[in-house]
Amino acid sequence: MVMFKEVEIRSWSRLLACAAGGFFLGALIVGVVLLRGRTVGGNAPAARALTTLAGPDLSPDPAVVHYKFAITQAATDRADMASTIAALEARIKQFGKSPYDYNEVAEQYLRRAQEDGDKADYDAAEKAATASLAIIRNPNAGLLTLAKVLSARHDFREAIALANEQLAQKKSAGAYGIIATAELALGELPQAMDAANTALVMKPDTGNYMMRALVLEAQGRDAEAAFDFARAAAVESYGDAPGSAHLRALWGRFLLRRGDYAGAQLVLAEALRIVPEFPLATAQEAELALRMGHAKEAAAEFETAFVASRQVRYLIDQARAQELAGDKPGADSLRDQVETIVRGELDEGGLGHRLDLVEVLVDRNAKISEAIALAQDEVTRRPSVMSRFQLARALARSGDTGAAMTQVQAALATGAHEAELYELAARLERQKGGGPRAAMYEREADRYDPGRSGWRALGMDGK
Amino acid sequence: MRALVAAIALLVALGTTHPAAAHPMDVGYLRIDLDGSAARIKLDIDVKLAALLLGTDEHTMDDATLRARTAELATATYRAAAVTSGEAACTWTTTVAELHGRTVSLADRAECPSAIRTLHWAVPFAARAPSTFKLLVKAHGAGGEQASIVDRDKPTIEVTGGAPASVGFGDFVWTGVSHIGAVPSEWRDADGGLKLPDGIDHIMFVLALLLAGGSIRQLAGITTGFTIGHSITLALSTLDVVRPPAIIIEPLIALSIAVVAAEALSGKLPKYRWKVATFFGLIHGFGFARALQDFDLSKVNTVEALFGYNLGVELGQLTIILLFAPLVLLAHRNPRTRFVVVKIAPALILVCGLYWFVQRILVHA
Repeated sequence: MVMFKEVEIRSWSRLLACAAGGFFLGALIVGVVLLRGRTVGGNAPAARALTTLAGPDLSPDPAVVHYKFAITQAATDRADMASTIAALEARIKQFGKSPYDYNEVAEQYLRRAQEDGDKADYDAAEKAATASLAIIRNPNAGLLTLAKVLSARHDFREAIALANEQLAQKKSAGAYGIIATAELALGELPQAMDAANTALVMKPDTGNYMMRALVLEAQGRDAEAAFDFARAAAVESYGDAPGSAHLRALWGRFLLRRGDYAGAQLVLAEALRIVPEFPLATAQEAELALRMGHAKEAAAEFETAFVASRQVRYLIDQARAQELAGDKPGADSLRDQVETIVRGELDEGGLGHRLDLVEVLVDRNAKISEAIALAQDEVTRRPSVMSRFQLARALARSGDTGAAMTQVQAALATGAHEAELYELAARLERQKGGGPRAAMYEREADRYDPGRSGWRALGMDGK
Repeated sequence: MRALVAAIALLVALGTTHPAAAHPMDVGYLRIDLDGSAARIKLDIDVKLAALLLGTDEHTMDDATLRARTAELATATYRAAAVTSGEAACTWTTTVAELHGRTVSLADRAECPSAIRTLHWAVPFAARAPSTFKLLVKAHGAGGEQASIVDRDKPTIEVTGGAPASVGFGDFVWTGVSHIGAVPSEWRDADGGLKLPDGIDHIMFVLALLLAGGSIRQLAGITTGFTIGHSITLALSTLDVVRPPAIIIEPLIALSIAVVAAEALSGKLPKYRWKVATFFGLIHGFGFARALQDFDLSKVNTVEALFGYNLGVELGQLTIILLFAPLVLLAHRNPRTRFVVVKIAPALILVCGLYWFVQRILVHA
C-alpha cells in the first residue's frame, strides 16, 4: 500500500517498481517518438555515407571552388531598364528610325523578358530587332539579338543561321557562343564543340570555359569537363557574383550526376553562399537530397526553387520527390496541375516545354500515345539526349521495348552516361532476357548513382 | 536580394554562352497547411502582378512600399472574399509580407470555429490578373497533399481536410496519448522551443488527483470513475448523440481542475473523491472528443477508433502518473518538500484552474 499524505509507505519495493515502471513507459514513448521521427525525417539510404565514384578523379579543389572576391549585391534596377526603354522608344519617334536604337531597345526588351518571362517583351524584342535588321541587315548586332530571342523560343536552327550570317561578316565570340548553346540544345555535340572551342580561343573567359565544360560533359569527357569547370572558376572576375553562382550550380550538377556527392555538396554550398536561394543551386541541392534518400527534404527544396524562379521544371521534380517520399496521390495531383499549366503555355504559343509535357505524361503513365507523338517530333527537331530519353521512356511505357532500346542506344552513343539512362537500358535488357547486359547497365547506373535511393526507377515501369 | 536576383536574370539575358534556359512562367503559388481548425497560407506572386493589383508601378515595389501596403495587398488578393469552413466564416490573423527577388510573399493564418473539413475560398484577384495567369494551389492537410489551379475560369478553391487515407488503430492510440500531452513532441513548438502542450489542463487535473493522495483502493476508485465517466461522454460525443458546445465544456474542465486542487489542499472529502472524479470524467470526455473530431470517422471503424483513442488517453494519463508518483512519494519523505507537495503544488494548480476558468469564459463570451 502506498500513501502520500498519510505517509504510509510500507513497501519500498513497490515504490521502486513504480519508479521503474514510470521510467520504462517514458522510455518506451520517447523511443516511439524517436522511431517516428526517423521514418519522417529520412529513409534508410540517408544513412549511407557520401560516396565518390571510382574512375577519373573529378573532385573539385576547395581553393578553386571558393569565391575569391567580396560578395556584393549587383545594383541592377528594373526602373532603370524601364526608363531606358522609354527613352529609346521616344528617341526613335523623335529622331527617326536608327538601326542602333532599334537594336538597343531590342536588347533591353530581351533582358526584361528573360527576367520576368513576359511574352509581350519577347515579342517586342523580336519586333525591334527585326526593324533594326530591315534598315541594315549586316553588319548589325541585331542579328545576334534576334538569334538570342529565337534561341529563347527554342527555335535553335534559325538562331544558328542568324549567328552564322553575322559570322560571315564579322567573327565574334558572342556569335560562336550562340551557336554552341543552340547546337548543344539540339544534341549536335561535335558542332557545339567546334563553336565552343572557337569562342574560347577568341575569348578565354569564365562563360566560354563553362560553355565548353557543358559540351564536354554532354560528350561524357568527364575529366576534361571537370578541368574546364575549374578553369572557369579560376579566371572569373570581380563583380559578377550571380555568374559565379551560376557556374557553381552547373558544376555541382555535373558532379552529382557523376556520383561525386561530396564534391557536389561543396560546390553547391559555395554557390548558395555567393547568392543565397539561387534557384538553380537550390534545385541541385534538392536533386542531391533526392539521390541521397532525403525525399521530403528534396520536395521542399524543389518547391523553394520553383517559388524563386517560376520554372515549371522544378514542379516536375517536386512531384518525383513526393512520389519517392511515398505520396503518390499528391505527386499525381501535382502532375495534373503541371500538365494544365504547360498545356496552357503551349496553347498560348509558349516557348518550348513540349518535353516537360512528355515527361509529365510518362510520369503519370497517361496519354502515352500523345507523349510518344510529341517526343518523336522533338527528336526530329532536336535529337538531344534528353529528347531521346523521354521518347524511350514513353515507348517503354507503351511496351515497345525494341524502339525504346534504339533510342537509349542512340543517346548512349553520344557519350552521355546518366544513371537514369543506364537504368532504363537495364530494364529494357531484362525484359528482353539479356541478363548479363542488364547487369552491366545496372552496374553503370549504380556507379553514377551511389545513393541508390530509388529515384531513377520512377516512371520506368513497362506497360 | 531583389537586385541580386534581377542581376541573375541579366546574366542569362546577356551571356551568350550559357545553356538555353527555360523562362519563368506566369504562375503564382499558394501553399495552404491545414492544422485542426487553423489554415496557414503562403501566397507567392510576381512583383509585377502585385503592382498591378495595387494599381502602382512595379518599379516602386520595394521592401518599404510592400511593408506599408501589406494590408492593402492582402485585401486585393487572398482576403478579397471570405474563407469558410463548412458554413462558418474563418478569421484572418496577421499578414506578413516579404519581397524576395521578383517574388512577393504573403503569409497569414485563418482561424476557423471548428476543425476544418472543407475549406471554401473565392480568389477574385485571379480575374484581375492577366489572362495567362494561373495560381497553383497546394493544400496540405491530414488527408495528404492536394494540388489545384485557380485562374479566370475557375477562381475558387475547395480544400478537403479529413483523415489520412490509411488511418489505423495505432494512429488513434497515438492521438490519445498526444492529446494528453504525454509525448515530448507536444512540448515542442515548430521552432524546437519549449511550449505547453494542448493537453496541459488534463495533465493538471491528473496531477491534482495525484496530489490529493489516498489509499490504493481510493486511487483505484478515482481512476476507474474518471475512466468510466470520460469513456461514456467520449462515445456519446463521437457518435454525435450529445455534443455540448465548447463554451460550456472548456470552462467546466478548468473549473474541475480548480475543484480537485482545492480538495487536495483541504483533504476534507476523501470519501467522495471517486464520485467527483466520475462526474468530472463525464466533462473531460467531451473535451477528449475534440481530438477525435479531426478524423473523418465515416471512413474508419468507429469502435476501433473509440477503443484506440481511449486506450491512448489511459496510457497518457498512466505515463503522467508514473512519472510524477515517484517524485511525489520522495517529496513526502522530507518535511520541507512535503509542504511543497501538500500545500504549494495544489495551490498553484488551483490558481491555474481558476485562471483558465475565467479566461475561457472571456474567450467564448
